[in-house]
Amino acid sequence: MSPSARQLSERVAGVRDHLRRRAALAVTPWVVTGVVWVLLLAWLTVGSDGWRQGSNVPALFDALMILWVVLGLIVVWLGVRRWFGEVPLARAIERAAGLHPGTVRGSLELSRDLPVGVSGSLAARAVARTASDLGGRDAEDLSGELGRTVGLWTRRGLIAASVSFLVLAALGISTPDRTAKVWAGVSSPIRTMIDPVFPAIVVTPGDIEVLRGTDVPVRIEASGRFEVALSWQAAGDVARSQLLNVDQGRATHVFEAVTATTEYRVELPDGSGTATYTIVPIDPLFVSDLVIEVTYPPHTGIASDEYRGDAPPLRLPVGSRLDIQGAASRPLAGVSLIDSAGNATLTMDVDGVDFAGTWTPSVEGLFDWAFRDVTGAPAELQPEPLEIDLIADSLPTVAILLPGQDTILPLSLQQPLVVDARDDYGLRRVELVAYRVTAFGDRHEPVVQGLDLEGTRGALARPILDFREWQLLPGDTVRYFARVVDNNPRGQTATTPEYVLRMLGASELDREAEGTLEESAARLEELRAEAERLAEQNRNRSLETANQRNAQNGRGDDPNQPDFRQQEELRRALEEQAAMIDNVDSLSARLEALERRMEEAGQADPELVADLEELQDLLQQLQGNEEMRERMAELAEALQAENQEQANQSLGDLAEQQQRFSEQVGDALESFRRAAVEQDFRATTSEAEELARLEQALADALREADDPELRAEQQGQLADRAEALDDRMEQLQERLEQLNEQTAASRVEEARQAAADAGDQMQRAEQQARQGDAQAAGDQAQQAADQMDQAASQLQQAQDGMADQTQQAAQSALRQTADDALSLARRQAELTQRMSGASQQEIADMRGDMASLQRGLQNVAENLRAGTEATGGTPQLSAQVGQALQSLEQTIEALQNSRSSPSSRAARSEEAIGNLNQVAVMAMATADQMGTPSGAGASGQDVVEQMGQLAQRQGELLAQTGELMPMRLGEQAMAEQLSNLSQQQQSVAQDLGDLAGDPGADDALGDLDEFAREAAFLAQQLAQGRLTPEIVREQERLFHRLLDAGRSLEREEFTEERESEAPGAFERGDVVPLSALQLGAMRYELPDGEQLRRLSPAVRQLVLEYFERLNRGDVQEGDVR
Amino acid sequence: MNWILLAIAVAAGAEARTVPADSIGIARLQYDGGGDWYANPSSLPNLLAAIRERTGVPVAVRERNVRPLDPALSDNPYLYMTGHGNVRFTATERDALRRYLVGGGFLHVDDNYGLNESFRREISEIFPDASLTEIPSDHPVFHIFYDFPEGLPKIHEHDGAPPQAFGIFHNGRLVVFYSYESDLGDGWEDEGVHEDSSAVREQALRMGVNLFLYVLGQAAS
Repeated sequence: MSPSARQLSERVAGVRDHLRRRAALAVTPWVVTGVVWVLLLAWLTVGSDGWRQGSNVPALFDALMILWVVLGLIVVWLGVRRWFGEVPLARAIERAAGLHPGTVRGSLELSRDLPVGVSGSLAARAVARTASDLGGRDAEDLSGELGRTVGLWTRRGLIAASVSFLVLAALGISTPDRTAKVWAGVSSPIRTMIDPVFPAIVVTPGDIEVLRGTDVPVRIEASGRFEVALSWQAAGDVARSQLLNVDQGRATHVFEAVTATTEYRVELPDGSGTATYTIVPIDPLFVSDLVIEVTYPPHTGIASDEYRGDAPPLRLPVGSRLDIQGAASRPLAGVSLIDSAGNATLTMDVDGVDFAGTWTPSVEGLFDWAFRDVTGAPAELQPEPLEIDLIADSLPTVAILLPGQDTILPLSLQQPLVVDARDDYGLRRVELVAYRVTAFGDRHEPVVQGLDLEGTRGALARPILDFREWQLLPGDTVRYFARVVDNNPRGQTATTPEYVLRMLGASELDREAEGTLEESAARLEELRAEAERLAEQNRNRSLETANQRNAQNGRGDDPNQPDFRQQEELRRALEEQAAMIDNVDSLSARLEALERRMEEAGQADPELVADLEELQDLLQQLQGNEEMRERMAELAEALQAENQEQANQSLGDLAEQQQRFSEQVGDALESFRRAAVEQDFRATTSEAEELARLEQALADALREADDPELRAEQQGQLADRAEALDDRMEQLQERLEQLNEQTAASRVEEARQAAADAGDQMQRAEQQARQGDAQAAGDQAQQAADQMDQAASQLQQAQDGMADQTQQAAQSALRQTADDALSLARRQAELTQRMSGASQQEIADMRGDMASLQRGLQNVAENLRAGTEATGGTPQLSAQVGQALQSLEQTIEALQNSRSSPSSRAARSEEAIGNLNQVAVMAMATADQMGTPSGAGASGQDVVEQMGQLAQRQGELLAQTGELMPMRLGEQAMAEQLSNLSQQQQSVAQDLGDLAGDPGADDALGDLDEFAREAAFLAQQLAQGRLTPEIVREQERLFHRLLDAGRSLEREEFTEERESEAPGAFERGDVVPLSALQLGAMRYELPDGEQLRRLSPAVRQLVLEYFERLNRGDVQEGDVR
Repeated sequence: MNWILLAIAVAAGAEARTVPADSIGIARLQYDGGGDWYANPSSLPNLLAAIRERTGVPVAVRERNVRPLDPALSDNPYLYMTGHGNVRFTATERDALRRYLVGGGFLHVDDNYGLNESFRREISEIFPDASLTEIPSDHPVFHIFYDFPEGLPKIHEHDGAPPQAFGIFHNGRLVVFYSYESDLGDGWEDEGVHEDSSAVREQALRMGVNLFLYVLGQAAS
């Protein structure tokens, strides 16, 4: 290339470079402007909080700016290539240089390649010239229009950039935060694009229970979110959803008037969401159920109560338990009972809505309920406060209503009691406690017996204290009281006062026996009157009925037609008679009890025992009146069979028997009266003897002068007793006079005088003792003792005399009976001889003689009864007299009967003679026997009597010992008394020894020697002045052993008890099988089932009943059909 | 001291109720004549205890003592009588005993040695129309609870004779059981009282249990 060409090319290239630079400069402001505008756009786009984390917008703006710059560069590049290409540039240079169009372009083309046919030189020249033309001009000039255009756009760009920059600057100044936030995002688009880490959405309140109907605001803490979706569904409603704008990270919604359980959750646009929460509408807290069960203490016996809802005021026995349970309308946090001081008395267990608690109140008062739900809210409606009154278990009460005071133990030794026990909540047990205190002050172990009352609240018990096995002795006392225990677990008890049952003293027992006999006599008197009344009444009834029957016969009525009124009267008559016999039974039992009691007390005076046995025999005769029983049985059968005629007949017969019964009672009555008087005699004598003994002891004590005041007091008491004795003796004297026992009465009067003197001396002795003159008082007392002893002796003699007189009278009557009977027998023998071969007329005449004989024998019977009445009669002899009378009657009948043969008359007469002779023999024998004491020897009944007497003597010794104890005698006086007792004890020992020596007794009892040794030991102890409780107990033991031995001797046969021994070898014999009857089999087998089934039910029943009677043996032979 | 509860009435305001009577038991017959009716004092309590423990029958703890004329006689289904000596009843007592036995009662007479003659005399008075019949070993009384194939066991030696059981039957019912030459009561007593071996005492108690159950069964039939 030529230099010109090169020059030209360079020149053109220079212009191009110039334009290129200028274009670049022009594009720059525009690029800046574009960037500013992007920034302005970002400013407009950015939010108040700046760019959201994770937003791509800043990056977009950054990309836009980059694109804008790239676009500018592309524009520059494209402009350079397009606008500053060789052609436009050549044209612009040509124009700027004023060259012809195409000059530059052609030159350039020629410089690069000459076209074919173009001269090189020319071309070089043209090129040179063009180069020359362009020489000297700078590139600016040569750029021409292009240069100007570029300049224009450059200016425009600068203006735009400046304006934009100013706007941007203004915004930056006015809103620097926003601008900064815009810049922060644009400047760091990548960081802005990173997704943000949002805090968890917080939904408040979440799960909640709200009062039904209230609005529930829901607040959603959703920082970084713009909106959230709240979804919810109420029970029974469709699901709902709502978009919520998040403002400042928070969105809210209000569920209005929630009435149903509503579940809700918050969902985010990205699909995530919160958990599902529940709004539970609830009602206000109130107690929906309250049950109070009151369990009373078991001992109250009260069934438990249950109260639902508000409980009424509760009156609770102490120890009652309250079981409280219930439920509230919503879960509870606590339930308690608050006392008036505000303290929680009971805190109950809660489990959800349920609550329960157990409480045994120990204090009473008003207790408020305190309910608190899980929200701490109290119950809207509280139950009424619980009002509790505690009732303490009162002590039981017990009282002995009968006898309710100290009293005397009955003769039967059975004391009925009425015990009234009560308790508010029930009694567990009632007990009777009794113990014996002997006359000597020895206290025995208490005996306790009781009954379980099983919770009854009140009991009226009627126990009988039975002391028959206690071996009580005169002077003993039994102390007793009742005790109850209530049902309270602590067993509260109450006791009655201690009462005393006093055992009668020896003399009192005698008086009691007398009273019993007198009462028995009075009862017999009533019985006799009643029997007479019944006899008359029944006779009248019988006659009346007979008359009615006759009248009925006259009217043509059936006389056997039962009349209800008559039947009832007959039945009543039967019952009355039965009651009368029961009365006799009762009397008999009473006498038996009396005899036993006297015996056990050692007061069984042989005469009293004999009297009692005799009286019992009399009563047994009354009880065992077979004819009476037969008439009663006939009457009962007639009534049963409704046989009016037979009943009437039986009633008549019964009336006759009642009349006889009345007479027999009358006979017995006399014996009872006499026995009562005799017992009065014995009791009075016994009292006098006792008084004499005591006075003697007191005389010794007075002389000892150990305690003058006490002795004076005792002397006064004895004087009072002497005065009382005087009254009794006066009564005895009167009774004897009434019995026409004048001799005995006069003797009693003498004794009474002696006793009265003794009483006077006692009073004087008392005065002297009070004046301190011990010696004189002692002497006076000694005289009183002697006088009283004399009175006792006189009484005893009077009693013996009366007994002798009675016996003699009876013997006399018996002998007279024998004489009379023999006389009558002789007369009857004479008549018998006259009967032989006598004519009818003569026979008729003999009837008068026979009637005379009969009257004579009746007189004999009457005299016999009168003569032996005082000794209890002679039943066997009387029976024989009756038999003789019957023989005489039969003889008279034979004489009156013309058809009777002479031989039969003679036989009757002989029989009568035999009976009369028998009467005479029996009368004589009875008279002889009456005067003869029972057989001697140590066997049989005599041994019994001797042992009985020894037991009685030992009992009396015991009683005498008992008499001494209350006197508190001085040493010397006591020694003298004990010496006396010792002598008596020694006497008993001696007699026991003697008895043991008898062969008969030795056979009967092998331990009499031991008894004798015991008695001798006691005598020795007493002689040595020893009177200890043990000695007294020993005396008592000896007494009971003697008593038992006497009883054992009563047996009719005796087998000796052996020592126990193991069995040896033996062989069993063959045993005959028992009969079917013995095995309970029926004698007559029942028809079988098939046979019975053929019968109708009614007939079947009859058949079965018949066989039942048949097998019982009720059916008589004739009944079997 | 005996409680004889005649009545229990209830005080005002309290619920009416009756105190139950004593449990069923055995009564000891107290008789006259000199025999020691009270012999073998520990026998009946022991027997009652054995009955209670072995059969479950709620019997009384203690025996009762009754006399023939005791109104409470008929309250006792089982009357026990023993002793060594004489037995004597009055006519009234005999009547009462007969009424009791015919009316459903039962009397066990246990010969403690020595009452054979007097008892036989008295029982013939009470039951003149019946006699003591020896009870064979196949009778139910020997098998009702415990089995006694040989019949009445021998507890004590008396006269070297074999033990025999006699009875009086009334309308097919055993009203009197008389254990003779056996001495059951000694075997019922406390151990050591008679120095019986335990085997012998056991035999006695078993026989006692049999007797009581048999009597109860009779009462129910």
